[in-house]
Amino acid sequence: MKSDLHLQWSISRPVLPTSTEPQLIYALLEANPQAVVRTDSKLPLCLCLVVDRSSSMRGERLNQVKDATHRIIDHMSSEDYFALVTFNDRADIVIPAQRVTDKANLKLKVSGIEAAGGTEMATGLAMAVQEVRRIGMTRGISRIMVLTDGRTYGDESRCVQIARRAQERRIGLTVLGMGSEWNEDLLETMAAHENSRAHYITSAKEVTQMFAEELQRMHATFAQSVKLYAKLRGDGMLRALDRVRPFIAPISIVEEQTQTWTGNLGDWPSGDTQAFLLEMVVPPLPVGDHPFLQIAIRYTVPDDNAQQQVAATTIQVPVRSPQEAAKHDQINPNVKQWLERVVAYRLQSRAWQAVEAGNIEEATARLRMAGTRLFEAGETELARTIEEEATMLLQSGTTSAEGRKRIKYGTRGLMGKA
Amino acid sequence: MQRCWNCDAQQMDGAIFCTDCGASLIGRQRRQETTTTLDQPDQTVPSAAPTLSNHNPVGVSLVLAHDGRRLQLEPNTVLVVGRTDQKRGIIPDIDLGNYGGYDAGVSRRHAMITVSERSCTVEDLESANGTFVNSQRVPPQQPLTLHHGDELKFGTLLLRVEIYP
Repeated sequence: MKSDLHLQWSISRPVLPTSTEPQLIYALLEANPQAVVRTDSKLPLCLCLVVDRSSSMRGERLNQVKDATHRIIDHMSSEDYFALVTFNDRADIVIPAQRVTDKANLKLKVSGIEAAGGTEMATGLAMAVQEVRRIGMTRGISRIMVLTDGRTYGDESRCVQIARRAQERRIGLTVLGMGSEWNEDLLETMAAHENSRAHYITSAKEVTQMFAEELQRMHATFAQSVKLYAKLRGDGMLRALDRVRPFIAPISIVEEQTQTWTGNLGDWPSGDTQAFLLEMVVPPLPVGDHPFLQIAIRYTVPDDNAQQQVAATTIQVPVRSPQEAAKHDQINPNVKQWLERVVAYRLQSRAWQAVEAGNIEEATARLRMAGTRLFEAGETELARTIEEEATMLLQSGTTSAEGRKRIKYGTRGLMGKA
Repeated sequence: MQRCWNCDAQQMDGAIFCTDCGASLIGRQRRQETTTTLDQPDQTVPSAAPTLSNHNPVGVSLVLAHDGRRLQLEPNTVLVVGRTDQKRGIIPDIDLGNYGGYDAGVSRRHAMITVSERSCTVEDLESANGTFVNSQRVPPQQPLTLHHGDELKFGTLLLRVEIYP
């Protein structure tokens, strides 16, 4: 399997004017995996499902989950490992981690799951980690998928601790929240790692599709432990780094060496184009074309002899006299469009912080501005939802759980259309 | 440097949106803020004190999903769930009007919960927007037994049933 990563960039303004003050510039960096994936060389997978079987899952929801699980088993090969843990007030290992050889028997065990009782997630999660670690795959992808529709009571911090331990051992976590009542803060915190994700599922029917997509992504992992290095010249500074495709998420950066910032970008599936927005401070520069920023993306290909690869590019910043620059004073619409979404995402996330702090007025103002940004970015439906929540917040001092989730996951671009 | 027209924060040249308030800093002649106008709900929800306690659960309690508030139900009682309407003199035992019941479509007389020694049932009182247990609509005027962990919905107001022996 040959892999390569193709990098492309564009900046917010084609030309910067000379100035005695520092200026801001935004760069959009797109990375296309050019991998030639052969169908016969799927990566082996070790997948452990953690399924909430509390009473609220009874009926349609659990049936859909069982259906989806049957399909997952169908899609797995004898190279893969599968495990299933359920939890309600306690946790059970329904299927210990094993090779997917006797599919009929595995499905029979899945069909036997019944819903009853309350919701206590941590023990289920701990058992899942134990099952995945027991196999200890050296080549391939290990993953835990948690599916819940509710809130766990009293063991939230343990859930986060267990999630972190797994993630540090390169076991990624996919957390699926069904309906609108699950504890988003907890699931988000659990998934707050580059190799993990949280999804919002509005109906049970989406489970099958979501499972299938995740499975495909895992099988086709193109690169693992992807890391971005940004080296800026002179007194330049990288102020922020955000992922914008396939979904919006801030990435934390550190100045690892003088003038070199790094950010962890997690694992990448082969089909995805990934895009990032870099916010940079350009110091006063003389007229000329400046190789302002050197970017390197280092990654590991998850194959037998996991070797490190690098893709690199240099972002040029042309600086001209103010008169000359004024002739080219247009903003790159593509960069602006992504920035507008990132701004909306930041605004809504600050709004929820303001709600937590009891500052309703600030929260409402931030939500309204997020609505304006999305409206102008053409996301009218989401803008409307935000406006409704803002009105509700101002009048009643609270927001609806569903509206909040729709906004959070909508601004991130995870719900349906991007 | 430039100043944001909306919040007056100092912004660097080249900024496209204010890093503080998110306002657009380009084409500044457009000063309007929010361009969306939407329907306004016609009533605000009063924020009244909780009618029931936050003590440890014994027997049956209902937990409001949106804020985690716990309504503890006395054993051996029949409780009407609904919204208070002073004009018509309707005062239910469990008044969900204080918990966003109006917006959630809770009827004035919505349902009846019967707590006995052994079991707990819910019966819909032909409410306009229905009573649901684990997303299944409860047929009106037919008591249905509730279990620990069930999801109970009056209109769209969600509660979790907790039953401790």
